[in-house]
Amino acid sequence: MANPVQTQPAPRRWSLGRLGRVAWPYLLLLPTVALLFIFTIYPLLQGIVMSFFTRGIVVVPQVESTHPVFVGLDNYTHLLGDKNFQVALLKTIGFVVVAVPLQLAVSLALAVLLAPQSRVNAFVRTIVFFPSMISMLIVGVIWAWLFGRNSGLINYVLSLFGIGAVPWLEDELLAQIAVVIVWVWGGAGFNMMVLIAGLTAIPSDLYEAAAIDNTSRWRQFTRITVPLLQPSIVVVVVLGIIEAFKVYELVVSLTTGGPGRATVYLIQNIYETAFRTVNQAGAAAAQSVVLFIILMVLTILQLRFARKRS
Amino acid sequence: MTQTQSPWRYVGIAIVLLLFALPPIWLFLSSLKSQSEIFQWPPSLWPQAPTLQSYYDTFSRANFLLYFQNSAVVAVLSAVLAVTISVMAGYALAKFRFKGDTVFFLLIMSALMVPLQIVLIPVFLVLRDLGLLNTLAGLIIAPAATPSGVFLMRQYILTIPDSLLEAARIDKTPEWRILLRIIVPLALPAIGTLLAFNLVYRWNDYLWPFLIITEQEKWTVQLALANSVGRFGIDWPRLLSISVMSVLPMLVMFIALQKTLMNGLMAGAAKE
Amino acid sequence: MKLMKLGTIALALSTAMLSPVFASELKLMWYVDGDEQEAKLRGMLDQYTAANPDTTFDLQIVPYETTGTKFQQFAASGSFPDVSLSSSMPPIIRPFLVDWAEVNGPEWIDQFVAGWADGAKLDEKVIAAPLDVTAVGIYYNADAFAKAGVEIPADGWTWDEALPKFKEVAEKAGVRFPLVWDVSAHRFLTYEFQYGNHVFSEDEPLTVAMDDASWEKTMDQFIAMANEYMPPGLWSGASSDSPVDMFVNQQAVAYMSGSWQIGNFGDNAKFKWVAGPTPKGTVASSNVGGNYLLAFNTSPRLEEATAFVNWMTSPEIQAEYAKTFGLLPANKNAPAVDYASADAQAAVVAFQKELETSPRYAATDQAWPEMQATWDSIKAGITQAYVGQITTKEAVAGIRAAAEAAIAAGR
Repeated sequence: MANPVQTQPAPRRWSLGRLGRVAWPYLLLLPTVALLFIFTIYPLLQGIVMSFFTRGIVVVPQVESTHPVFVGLDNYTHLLGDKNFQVALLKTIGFVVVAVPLQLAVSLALAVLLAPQSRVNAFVRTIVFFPSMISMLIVGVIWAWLFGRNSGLINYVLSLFGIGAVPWLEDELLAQIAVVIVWVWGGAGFNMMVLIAGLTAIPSDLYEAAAIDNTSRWRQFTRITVPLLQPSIVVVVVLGIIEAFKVYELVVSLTTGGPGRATVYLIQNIYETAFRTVNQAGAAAAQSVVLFIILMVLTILQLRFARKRS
Repeated sequence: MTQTQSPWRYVGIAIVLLLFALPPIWLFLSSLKSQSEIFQWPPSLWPQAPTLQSYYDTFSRANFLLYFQNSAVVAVLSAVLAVTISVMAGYALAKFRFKGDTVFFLLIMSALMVPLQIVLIPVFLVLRDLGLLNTLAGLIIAPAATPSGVFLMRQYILTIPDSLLEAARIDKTPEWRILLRIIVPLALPAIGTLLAFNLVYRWNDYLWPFLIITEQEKWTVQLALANSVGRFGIDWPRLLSISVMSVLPMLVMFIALQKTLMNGLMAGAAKE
Repeated sequence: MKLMKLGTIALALSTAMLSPVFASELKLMWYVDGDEQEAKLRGMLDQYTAANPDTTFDLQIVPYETTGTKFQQFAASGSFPDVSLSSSMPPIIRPFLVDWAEVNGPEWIDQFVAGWADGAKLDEKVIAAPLDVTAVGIYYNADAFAKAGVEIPADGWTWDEALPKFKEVAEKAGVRFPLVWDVSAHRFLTYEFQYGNHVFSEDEPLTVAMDDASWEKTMDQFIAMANEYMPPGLWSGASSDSPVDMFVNQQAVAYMSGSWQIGNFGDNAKFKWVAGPTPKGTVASSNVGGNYLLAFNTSPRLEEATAFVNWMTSPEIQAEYAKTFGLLPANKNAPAVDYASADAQAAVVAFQKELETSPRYAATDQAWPEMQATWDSIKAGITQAYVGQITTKEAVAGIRAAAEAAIAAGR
């Protein structure tokens, strides 16, 4: 691959400073870290500071009630008595626990089913990826409409078979299930592609050897596919958990948090606290910090676990 | 992978097609209906009087092509930028041990844990201070760093054997060549996935354009789409037709990308 | 940092392209229902530019739902558009609003419909210019009534009398639902109004004037009505059913909404419809609503901005605006509006009359600035009580708590 004649001058150039070699990984990281710092981490730090104050989401000098007042940990201790927050947090955890494993199972099944290169598979992959091409807002709108109790297609089709109208979105439990189904539907395509990319990296001679040994399909899957696919599975699970904790746009367009408050998850609760109540920005920031800590701990644990296994 | 095709495989594929294809087909069929037929009960499965009126209406507003163009410029440039810097960062985190590597990794991942909805106001002020408000440049640059992209690339590059890199280093190959000639070709499947993902994400993004753009000449398709929701009701034909049209470029992109990737993979396999 | 440099160059280029801006190009933030409305609006703006060639417009359309967020961004950065359409004035933007009492004198506001004009007042100031007024009221599918042989009494009826008739019409005329109702705090509150309940006192000093027991009883009644006469699940807050589209598609006998639908029905309803008389409870009541124009004192083009707002709210233009958009003019001196059709004309007259004969609180409740922080609790209360997550007692307590907190927060 590398032409030795061409690379001849290279050592001299690089040895001019060992600095270059030491700096290389930092240079590679620089654009990402700089952009993230400016547009995400710096605002996040402001959010953390905000959580120790009561203040408006916007501080207007002329409006006294929006001015920041330092309150120490009050915003955090208040969360202990905030029923809306606690219910939203528990519901969110429930959602993550159900939706993430389901999504992994579905995407893994799809990936194994559709990974072999053929025309049919390429076509089906495109169809499965289709929902991932639509914004979550539109995905929610389409399904809200399909699930409609009195005007939805699904209930109409059921009625042809003599089945009465199902309150998909109007029943507390069914609405939560509906959010899980649509979330998995919307994200399966992307995760399938991640896993297929991972599958292509598994050397095919492993399967050939297994086939010669008459190893069953299931054993091939558990002994070869899953262990070697682990880095990609980690991507699906880690990103899945973070995304599931942040579920918002889909819910807003699918159920708007209803029936009642049955599908109000954490982000919606934070958003409404910050923007739709007066001068509660500090409380909303405290809720965000709690979410942040949960996600950070979960991510570190998962990565530790993944490293140990590999 | 094994190539034997069992009948169960076809049953599975049929179910998958049914579940994933029906809602988009329903979306498309409904976009050919008038507002009153959309809400007709019982619903008409096939449009009774199929009409392209809503498509015509959307296009006859001259600006729509401009929104498409804005979206395309933003999505393509932003996605390319995002993939480039994600590959760089992912490679650094996967194949180098350096001071603070874990800290950097967690710092990048932590950015994923902040939902933009919550930091809207601070981000808005940063954008203002950098003079990025109401510019397409702001739309391209501000969201370009994607922690999930970095993570995806890191995980994939982890699977590339170190021995390849060591061999190259013994040959005194310069580092940038190792990145371009070894890492990038081997990570192509992940790069393709990431590119597709970024294009889709940037194309469909609503929140950043909402935050940054005020002038109608700089609207993206998603801003136009969001405007189908009025104070007192939703203009369904408009919403559906724009949805369908906004998906088409993504569909073409995905099919093309898949073809290129498949060819690339096959070529790679043939070489081995 | 190369990327940032590229960004700066791109930025410089784009601002360079932007620079030939007219000295008096007014930035307008507006929301519309549909592209047609936008086209009509642009027509009116062109008309203004034709008469005042120095003033052109940069129209910034945003979805209605997002105006609050936009205001927060503006307040945070201290830079507002020159003029904005709005239905409310949240506290954070109040310091930046032009005081019309100062610009046009304290009597200027008196030429507007009183209930909506009151909402523009903040103590001694007038912080908004009323643009149009809406009334809450009911629409009937007259064809369905005729088919069922049921008459709509010209001098009105109570809910107790009307509801069984709706059901009868639904059955006889083969219409799916007797009644649909916009799922909105504002429309629900109208029902409480009709049983003598309201949130705030009508006069200063401002207090919470809720009779909790009566509120609860009325809310129970409403839920029973929703369960028996409306599409199942409609008030759960999660339903994707669209009341307006159901009515236009003749799936509902009656539709509780408001005057803003007149233009829509004129264009899209393929049957004979009539507006009102709205059934009453113990009292007959509508509910005031509408839109304001706000001018911002941060504007470098303040003179042009106020001139434009004065033009839009002047009697002649008010009549034209009301006709174009099928709305009720906010300016009482507007010449009689000649609406597009006889149906529309009759509907406007009917709703205007219902608005005039409503109790005072139908105007004052929504006019108090404190109401802005109370709406969400009303919607949350009624939807949660409807699905049984909380009792009506808890729902009413929640509304009271929000209203009291709003008063305590001050202006």
